[in-house]
Amino acid sequence: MAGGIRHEDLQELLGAYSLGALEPMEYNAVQIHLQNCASCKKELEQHLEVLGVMDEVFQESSPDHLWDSISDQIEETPPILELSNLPTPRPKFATPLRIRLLAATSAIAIAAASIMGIELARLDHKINQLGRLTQTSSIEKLAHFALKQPGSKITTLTSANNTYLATCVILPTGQGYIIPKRMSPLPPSQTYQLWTLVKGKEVSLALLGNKPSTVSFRINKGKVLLITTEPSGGVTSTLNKPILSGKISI
Amino acid sequence: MDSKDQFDQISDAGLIVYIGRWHPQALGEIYKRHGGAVYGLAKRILCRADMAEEVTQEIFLKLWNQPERFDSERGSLRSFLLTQTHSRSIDLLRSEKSRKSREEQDALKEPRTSYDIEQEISNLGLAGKIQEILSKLPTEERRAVILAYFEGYTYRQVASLLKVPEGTIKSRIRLALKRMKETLDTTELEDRWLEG
Repeated sequence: MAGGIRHEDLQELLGAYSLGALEPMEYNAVQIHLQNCASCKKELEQHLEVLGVMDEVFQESSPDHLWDSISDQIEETPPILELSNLPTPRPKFATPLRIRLLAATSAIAIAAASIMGIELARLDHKINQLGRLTQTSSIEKLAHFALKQPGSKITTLTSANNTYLATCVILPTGQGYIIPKRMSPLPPSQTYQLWTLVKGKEVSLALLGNKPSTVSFRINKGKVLLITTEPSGGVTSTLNKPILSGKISI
Repeated sequence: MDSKDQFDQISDAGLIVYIGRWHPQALGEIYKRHGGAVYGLAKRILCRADMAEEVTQEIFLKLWNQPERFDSERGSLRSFLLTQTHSRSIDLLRSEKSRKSREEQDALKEPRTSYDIEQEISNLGLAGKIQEILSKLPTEERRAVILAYFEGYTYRQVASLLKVPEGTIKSRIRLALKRMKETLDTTELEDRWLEG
């Protein structure tokens, strides 16, 4: 209700509103109503889609100089970070007692490490080996289990011409799995990298390797998934064009 | 991405990513796709080319500076841009300057008491797709839309011209746009099937 006018009455005005065919005093009521009514907003968008097609056909085309004046006004580089404006971190001073304790602890640790180091390294290696062997099969099992869970979001990532294909499943907890379906092996110097976008910026989710297999990742925010090819080891940000992309379903 | 890459192959959502990475070519591609509709919508509402240009610039510069405002989950980029354009144009329309210009234009129309709608349709020589969409509307709805869209009449003026209650015209315009959207969706779906 806006200014005593019922939702149904304002809804009836949406067609004329989208056409700009209301009386001046009526615009205000509709605009106020639209701020809080999702269904009317949706309907307006639909009307505007139709009118957008008509406007392209029937309205005078945009003047040639218009794009030039827009592009003249855009900054082509990110704004320079003003380091002088950043707050200076507070210095941390170690107390003499703390220094003595640290020195004593370090000496013990170095002695222990020299004795146990070799054994630990061997053990680590074995654990990693076992981990890799079991991880692959268990991740695949988990991914297929996740596919069957109610509430899982399943997204298909495709390339522009459908040459590449991958399936992604995300559990309500944010645990996700990417299952490559059709992704060619890359040279060893390269890797596939999975990204999402948060506020328009890419955030790395996982490395898929050069011979992609099912991998797990966690996602808290982001509504799209993108896969790029990057140098082996991955990168923290990318300028490469995504070769696969998909929108995470609601 | 180097300059040789084809931005025209990238989806709207993908282009937004590139805008986030400061690629002006991505904004250029979005302008190529939707600039016409944005400008056309502003021009139709405001009836003034200079103000339509101002709105179009504002909309695209805002997209460049705040690409994160577009949420692909909520709808298409085109819808987002058109909604922004419409809202900004209505704001300007309500401002004194533009209203005056519109009222002057309206004043020119008032002496007309009858309207040969069929003649108008034939004169307009509507482009194929739109003609097809309009032809599927019931005659009464088609008349209301044509008078409001092509002639810029308010719904009250349309009601007066067609000698029907104002409430009926409001409903006819709304229903007509809904039907047109359905036909448009079906046509697009058919086109996609044919392409596939």
